[in-house]
Amino acid sequence: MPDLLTHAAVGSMLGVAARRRVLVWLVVGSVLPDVISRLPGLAMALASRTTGLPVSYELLQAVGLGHVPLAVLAVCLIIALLLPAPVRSAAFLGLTSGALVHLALDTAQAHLVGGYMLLYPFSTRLFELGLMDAEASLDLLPWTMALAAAALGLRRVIRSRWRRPSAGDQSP
Amino acid sequence: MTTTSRSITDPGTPPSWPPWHPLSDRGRWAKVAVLAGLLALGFLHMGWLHTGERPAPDTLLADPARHAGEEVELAMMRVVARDGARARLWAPWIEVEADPVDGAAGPGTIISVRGRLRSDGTVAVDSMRVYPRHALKKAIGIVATALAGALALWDLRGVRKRRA
Repeated sequence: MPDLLTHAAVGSMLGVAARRRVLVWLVVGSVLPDVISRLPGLAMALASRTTGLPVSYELLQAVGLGHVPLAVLAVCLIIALLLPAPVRSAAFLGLTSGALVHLALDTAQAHLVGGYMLLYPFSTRLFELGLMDAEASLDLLPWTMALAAAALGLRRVIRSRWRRPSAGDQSP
Repeated sequence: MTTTSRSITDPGTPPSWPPWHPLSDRGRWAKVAVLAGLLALGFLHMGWLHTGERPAPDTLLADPARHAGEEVELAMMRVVARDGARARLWAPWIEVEADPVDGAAGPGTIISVRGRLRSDGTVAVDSMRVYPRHALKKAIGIVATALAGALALWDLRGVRKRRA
Protein backbone atom coordinates (compact mmCIF):
# COMPACT_ATOMS: atom_id res chain seq x y z
CA MET A 1 0.00 0.00 0.00
CA PRO A 2 1.18 3.54 -0.46
CA ASP A 3 2.26 5.17 2.78
CA LEU A 4 -0.38 7.03 4.76
CA LEU A 5 1.06 10.48 4.16
CA THR A 6 0.70 9.85 0.42
CA HIS A 7 -2.88 8.75 1.00
CA ALA A 8 -3.60 11.88 3.01
CA ALA A 9 -1.88 14.13 0.47
CA VAL A 10 -3.76 12.62 -2.48
CA GLY A 11 -7.01 12.87 -0.56
CA SER A 12 -6.39 16.52 0.24
CA MET A 13 -5.54 17.28 -3.40
CA LEU A 14 -8.71 15.62 -4.66
CA GLY A 15 -10.78 17.49 -2.08
CA VAL A 16 -9.17 20.85 -2.67
CA ALA A 17 -12.39 22.35 -4.04
CA ALA A 18 -14.52 21.08 -1.16
CA ARG A 19 -15.66 22.99 1.89
CA ARG A 20 -13.20 22.99 4.75
CA ARG A 21 -15.14 20.53 6.86
CA VAL A 22 -15.49 18.04 4.01
CA LEU A 23 -11.78 18.41 3.25
CA VAL A 24 -10.82 17.75 6.88
CA TRP A 25 -12.89 14.56 7.02
CA LEU A 26 -11.70 13.54 3.58
CA VAL A 27 -8.15 13.52 4.95
CA VAL A 28 -9.35 11.49 7.94
CA GLY A 29 -11.13 9.09 5.60
CA SER A 30 -8.02 8.70 3.48
CA VAL A 31 -6.19 7.07 6.40
CA LEU A 32 -9.20 5.21 7.78
CA PRO A 33 -8.83 1.85 5.96
CA ASP A 34 -5.29 1.42 7.20
CA VAL A 35 -6.23 2.49 10.72
CA ILE A 36 -8.87 -0.25 10.71
CA SER A 37 -6.58 -2.85 9.15
CA ARG A 38 -3.13 -2.14 10.55
CA LEU A 39 -3.63 -0.63 13.97
CA PRO A 40 -5.10 -3.81 15.50
CA GLY A 41 -2.21 -5.81 14.05
CA LEU A 42 0.34 -3.42 15.53
CA ALA A 43 -1.44 -3.55 18.86
CA MET A 44 -1.53 -7.35 18.77
CA ALA A 45 2.16 -7.54 17.88
CA LEU A 46 3.03 -5.18 20.72
CA ALA A 47 0.87 -7.17 23.14
CA SER A 48 2.52 -10.37 21.95
CA ARG A 49 6.01 -8.99 22.51
CA THR A 50 5.02 -7.68 25.93
CA THR A 51 3.13 -10.68 27.23
CA GLY A 52 4.73 -13.47 25.22
CA LEU A 53 1.33 -14.68 24.07
CA PRO A 54 1.11 -15.71 20.41
CA VAL A 55 -0.64 -13.47 17.93
CA SER A 56 -3.86 -14.89 16.55
CA TYR A 57 -3.33 -15.38 12.83
CA GLU A 58 -7.07 -15.37 12.14
CA LEU A 59 -7.43 -12.03 13.93
CA LEU A 60 -4.58 -10.59 11.89
CA GLN A 61 -6.31 -11.63 8.69
CA ALA A 62 -9.81 -10.71 9.86
CA VAL A 63 -8.90 -7.03 10.06
CA GLY A 64 -8.42 -7.15 6.29
CA LEU A 65 -12.10 -6.20 6.39
CA GLY A 66 -10.81 -2.65 6.59
CA HIS A 67 -10.04 -2.78 2.87
CA VAL A 68 -13.45 -4.01 1.80
CA PRO A 69 -15.49 -1.13 0.31
CA LEU A 70 -18.82 -2.11 1.90
CA ALA A 71 -17.23 -2.55 5.30
CA VAL A 72 -15.44 0.78 5.05
CA LEU A 73 -18.71 2.48 4.12
CA ALA A 74 -20.31 0.94 7.18
CA VAL A 75 -17.49 2.21 9.38
CA CYS A 76 -17.83 5.70 7.87
CA LEU A 77 -21.56 5.65 8.59
CA ILE A 78 -20.96 4.53 12.18
CA ILE A 79 -18.43 7.31 12.72
CA ALA A 80 -20.77 9.88 11.18
CA LEU A 81 -23.66 8.72 13.38
CA LEU A 82 -21.46 9.11 16.45
CA LEU A 83 -20.70 12.72 15.54
CA PRO A 84 -22.89 15.76 16.32
CA ALA A 85 -25.64 16.34 13.78
CA PRO A 86 -24.18 19.60 12.38
CA VAL A 87 -20.98 17.77 11.38
CA ARG A 88 -22.52 14.52 10.27
CA SER A 89 -23.30 15.13 6.62
CA ALA A 90 -19.97 16.71 5.73
CA ALA A 91 -18.09 14.16 7.81
CA PHE A 92 -19.80 11.22 6.09
CA LEU A 93 -19.17 12.69 2.66
CA GLY A 94 -15.52 13.36 3.47
CA LEU A 95 -14.91 10.03 5.18
CA THR A 96 -16.38 7.92 2.40
CA SER A 97 -14.66 9.92 -0.34
CA GLY A 98 -11.29 9.68 1.36
CA ALA A 99 -11.69 6.00 2.16
CA LEU A 100 -12.72 5.09 -1.38
CA VAL A 101 -9.78 7.04 -2.82
CA HIS A 102 -7.54 5.12 -0.41
CA LEU A 103 -8.90 1.81 -1.66
CA ALA A 104 -8.44 2.89 -5.27
CA LEU A 105 -4.79 3.74 -4.64
CA ASP A 106 -4.20 0.46 -2.84
CA THR A 107 -5.77 -1.51 -5.67
CA ALA A 108 -3.33 0.10 -8.11
CA GLN A 109 -0.39 -1.64 -6.45
CA ALA A 110 1.54 -4.76 -7.35
CA HIS A 111 2.19 -7.35 -4.67
CA LEU A 112 3.89 -10.65 -5.12
CA VAL A 113 0.84 -12.32 -3.64
CA GLY A 114 -2.40 -10.79 -2.57
CA GLY A 115 -4.95 -8.20 -3.50
CA TYR A 116 -8.14 -6.83 -2.07
CA MET A 117 -11.58 -8.39 -1.73
CA LEU A 118 -13.39 -5.51 -3.37
CA LEU A 119 -16.63 -7.44 -3.84
CA TYR A 120 -16.84 -8.96 -0.39
CA PRO A 121 -19.26 -10.34 0.89
CA PHE A 122 -20.47 -11.26 -2.59
CA SER A 123 -17.10 -12.65 -3.64
CA THR A 124 -13.77 -13.43 -1.98
CA ARG A 125 -11.83 -12.93 -5.19
CA LEU A 126 -8.78 -10.72 -4.81
CA PHE A 127 -8.28 -7.74 -7.07
CA GLU A 128 -5.15 -5.76 -7.84
CA LEU A 129 -4.11 -3.68 -10.87
CA GLY A 130 -0.36 -4.12 -10.45
CA LEU A 131 0.53 -0.61 -11.62
CA MET A 132 3.07 0.35 -8.98
CA ASP A 133 5.33 -1.19 -6.37
CA ALA A 134 4.10 -1.13 -2.79
CA GLU A 135 7.01 1.09 -1.70
CA ALA A 136 7.08 3.36 -4.75
CA SER A 137 5.14 6.05 -2.90
CA LEU A 138 8.07 6.57 -0.52
CA ASP A 139 10.27 7.68 -3.40
CA LEU A 140 7.66 10.16 -4.54
CA LEU A 141 6.63 11.35 -1.07
CA PRO A 142 8.50 14.69 -1.11
CA TRP A 143 6.89 15.57 -4.43
CA THR A 144 3.48 14.40 -3.33
CA MET A 145 3.66 16.49 -0.18
CA ALA A 146 4.88 19.52 -2.14
CA LEU A 147 2.01 19.17 -4.61
CA ALA A 148 -0.51 18.85 -1.79
CA ALA A 149 0.90 21.90 -0.03
CA ALA A 150 0.76 23.88 -3.28
CA ALA A 151 -2.83 22.79 -3.94
CA LEU A 152 -3.94 23.73 -0.44
CA GLY A 153 -2.10 27.04 -0.64
CA LEU A 154 -3.75 27.83 -3.94
CA ARG A 155 -7.11 26.88 -2.44
CA ARG A 156 -6.60 29.34 0.37
CA VAL A 157 -5.67 32.14 -2.01
CA ILE A 158 -8.60 31.53 -4.32
CA ARG A 159 -11.16 31.21 -1.54
CA SER A 160 -9.96 34.33 0.23
CA ARG A 161 -10.27 36.33 -3.00
CA TRP A 162 -13.54 34.96 -4.33
CA ARG A 163 -15.50 33.96 -1.22
CA ARG A 164 -18.40 36.24 -0.47
CA PRO A 165 -18.75 36.81 3.26
CA SER A 166 -21.88 35.12 4.70
CA ALA A 167 -23.10 34.66 8.25
CA GLY A 168 -21.53 31.64 9.91
CA ASP A 169 -19.25 30.73 7.03
CA GLN A 170 -15.85 30.34 8.54
CA SER A 171 -14.26 28.14 5.87
CA PRO A 172 -10.91 29.50 4.59
CA MET B 1 -24.61 33.62 -5.61
CA THR B 2 -26.75 32.24 -2.88
CA THR B 3 -26.00 28.80 -1.63
CA THR B 4 -28.24 26.63 0.40
CA SER B 5 -27.06 23.44 1.85
CA ARG B 6 -28.30 20.74 4.09
CA SER B 7 -24.91 20.85 5.73
CA ILE B 8 -24.97 23.31 8.50
CA THR B 9 -23.03 26.54 8.56
CA ASP B 10 -24.69 27.56 11.78
CA PRO B 11 -23.70 24.72 14.10
CA GLY B 12 -26.49 25.56 16.50
CA THR B 13 -29.20 24.40 14.07
CA PRO B 14 -29.44 20.67 13.35
CA PRO B 15 -30.01 19.63 9.72
CA SER B 16 -33.54 18.70 8.72
CA TRP B 17 -33.22 15.10 7.54
CA PRO B 18 -36.39 13.02 7.13
CA PRO B 19 -36.72 10.26 9.74
CA TRP B 20 -35.77 7.53 7.28
CA HIS B 21 -32.48 9.23 6.33
CA PRO B 22 -29.43 7.13 7.37
CA LEU B 23 -27.85 10.13 9.04
CA SER B 24 -30.92 11.25 10.97
CA ASP B 25 -31.01 11.07 14.75
CA ARG B 26 -34.00 8.74 14.64
CA GLY B 27 -32.92 5.26 15.67
CA ARG B 28 -29.33 6.43 15.70
CA TRP B 29 -28.07 3.92 18.22
CA ALA B 30 -30.03 1.10 16.64
CA LYS B 31 -28.39 1.92 13.31
CA VAL B 32 -24.96 1.92 14.93
CA ALA B 33 -25.69 -1.39 16.62
CA VAL B 34 -26.89 -3.03 13.40
CA LEU B 35 -23.89 -1.80 11.43
CA ALA B 36 -21.49 -2.86 14.17
CA GLY B 37 -23.14 -6.27 14.26
CA LEU B 38 -22.77 -6.70 10.51
CA LEU B 39 -19.13 -5.67 10.72
CA ALA B 40 -18.55 -8.16 13.52
CA LEU B 41 -20.03 -10.92 11.35
CA GLY B 42 -17.77 -9.89 8.51
CA PHE B 43 -14.82 -9.84 10.85
CA LEU B 44 -15.54 -13.37 12.03
CA HIS B 45 -16.07 -14.60 8.49
CA MET B 46 -12.82 -13.03 7.32
CA GLY B 47 -10.97 -14.81 10.08
CA TRP B 48 -12.73 -18.07 9.26
CA LEU B 49 -11.71 -17.76 5.59
CA HIS B 50 -8.09 -18.00 6.66
CA THR B 51 -8.53 -20.93 9.00
CA GLY B 52 -6.15 -23.68 7.99
CA GLU B 53 -3.35 -21.29 7.21
CA ARG B 54 -0.99 -21.23 10.10
CA PRO B 55 2.07 -19.34 11.21
CA ALA B 56 5.13 -21.56 11.47
CA PRO B 57 7.33 -23.02 12.76
CA ASP B 58 5.51 -23.70 15.99
CA THR B 59 2.20 -24.76 14.48
CA LEU B 60 1.68 -27.58 12.05
CA LEU B 61 -0.39 -27.17 8.94
CA ALA B 62 -3.32 -29.49 8.56
CA ASP B 63 -2.92 -32.50 6.24
CA PRO B 64 -2.38 -32.67 3.29
CA ALA B 65 -0.62 -29.31 3.57
CA ARG B 66 1.65 -30.53 6.34
CA HIS B 67 4.45 -31.50 4.01
CA ALA B 68 4.04 -28.20 2.19
CA GLY B 69 4.39 -26.39 5.46
CA GLU B 70 7.57 -28.22 6.30
CA GLU B 71 9.03 -27.55 2.86
CA VAL B 72 8.15 -23.89 3.11
CA GLU B 73 9.71 -23.85 6.54
CA LEU B 74 12.89 -25.36 5.12
CA ALA B 75 12.91 -22.69 2.42
CA MET B 76 12.47 -20.03 5.02
CA MET B 77 15.24 -21.51 7.11
CA ARG B 78 17.50 -20.91 4.12
CA VAL B 79 16.37 -17.28 4.13
CA VAL B 80 16.97 -17.12 7.85
CA ALA B 81 20.44 -18.59 7.44
CA ARG B 82 21.21 -16.01 4.81
CA ASP B 83 19.68 -12.96 6.42
CA GLY B 84 19.11 -13.88 10.04
CA ALA B 85 15.44 -13.07 9.68
CA ARG B 86 12.75 -14.30 12.00
CA ALA B 87 10.16 -16.03 9.87
CA ARG B 88 6.42 -15.82 10.17
CA LEU B 89 4.93 -17.79 7.41
CA TRP B 90 1.65 -19.11 6.26
CA ALA B 91 0.54 -20.85 3.11
CA PRO B 92 0.30 -19.89 0.32
CA TRP B 93 2.59 -16.94 0.88
CA ILE B 94 5.18 -15.95 3.40
CA GLU B 95 6.11 -12.86 5.26
CA VAL B 96 9.31 -12.57 7.15
CA GLU B 97 9.99 -10.08 9.85
CA ALA B 98 13.67 -9.50 9.98
CA ASP B 99 15.70 -9.07 13.11
CA PRO B 100 18.45 -6.43 13.00
CA VAL B 101 21.25 -8.02 11.00
CA ASP B 102 23.70 -7.07 8.32
CA GLY B 103 22.74 -7.85 4.77
CA ALA B 104 19.70 -7.56 2.60
CA ALA B 105 17.18 -7.93 5.39
CA GLY B 106 17.33 -5.37 8.11
CA PRO B 107 15.06 -4.21 10.91
CA GLY B 108 11.50 -3.96 9.74
CA THR B 109 12.15 -5.63 6.39
CA ILE B 110 9.32 -7.61 4.92
CA ILE B 111 10.16 -10.36 2.45
CA SER B 112 7.32 -11.72 0.37
CA VAL B 113 7.84 -15.17 -1.06
CA ARG B 114 5.66 -16.86 -3.64
CA GLY B 115 5.75 -20.63 -3.69
CA ARG B 116 4.08 -23.44 -5.55
CA LEU B 117 2.52 -26.51 -4.03
CA ARG B 118 3.86 -29.48 -5.98
CA SER B 119 1.85 -32.62 -6.58
CA ASP B 120 4.02 -34.52 -4.12
CA GLY B 121 3.07 -32.07 -1.40
CA THR B 122 6.35 -30.19 -1.35
CA VAL B 123 6.66 -26.48 -1.99
CA ALA B 124 8.98 -24.71 -4.38
CA VAL B 125 9.84 -21.11 -3.64
CA ASP B 126 9.47 -19.34 -6.97
CA SER B 127 10.17 -15.73 -6.31
CA MET B 128 10.95 -13.38 -3.53
CA ARG B 129 10.49 -9.66 -3.09
CA VAL B 130 12.14 -7.62 -0.38
CA TYR B 131 10.48 -4.54 1.11
CA PRO B 132 13.29 -2.91 3.08
CA ARG B 133 11.40 0.19 4.07
CA HIS B 134 8.43 -1.41 5.77
CA ALA B 135 9.43 0.02 9.14
CA LEU B 136 9.60 3.50 7.62
CA LYS B 137 6.10 3.06 6.21
CA LYS B 138 4.86 1.98 9.62
CA ALA B 139 6.39 5.07 11.24
CA ILE B 140 4.89 7.32 8.55
CA GLY B 141 1.55 5.63 9.11
CA ILE B 142 1.61 6.42 12.81
CA VAL B 143 2.46 10.07 12.12
CA ALA B 144 -0.26 10.40 9.48
CA THR B 145 -2.83 8.75 11.75
CA ALA B 146 -1.96 11.15 14.57
CA LEU B 147 -2.26 14.14 12.21
CA ALA B 148 -5.61 12.96 10.88
CA GLY B 149 -6.89 12.42 14.41
CA ALA B 150 -5.74 15.89 15.41
CA LEU B 151 -7.54 17.36 12.38
CA ALA B 152 -10.76 15.60 13.33
CA LEU B 153 -10.56 16.78 16.93
CA TRP B 154 -9.83 20.32 15.77
CA ASP B 155 -12.91 20.33 13.57
CA LEU B 156 -15.12 18.93 16.34
CA ARG B 157 -13.73 21.40 18.86
CA GLY B 158 -14.77 24.19 16.52
CA VAL B 159 -18.32 22.85 16.50
CA ARG B 160 -18.49 22.71 20.30
CA LYS B 161 -17.08 26.24 20.62
CA ARG B 162 -19.63 27.69 18.20
CA ARG B 163 -22.44 25.89 19.98
CA ALA B 164 -21.36 27.28 23.34
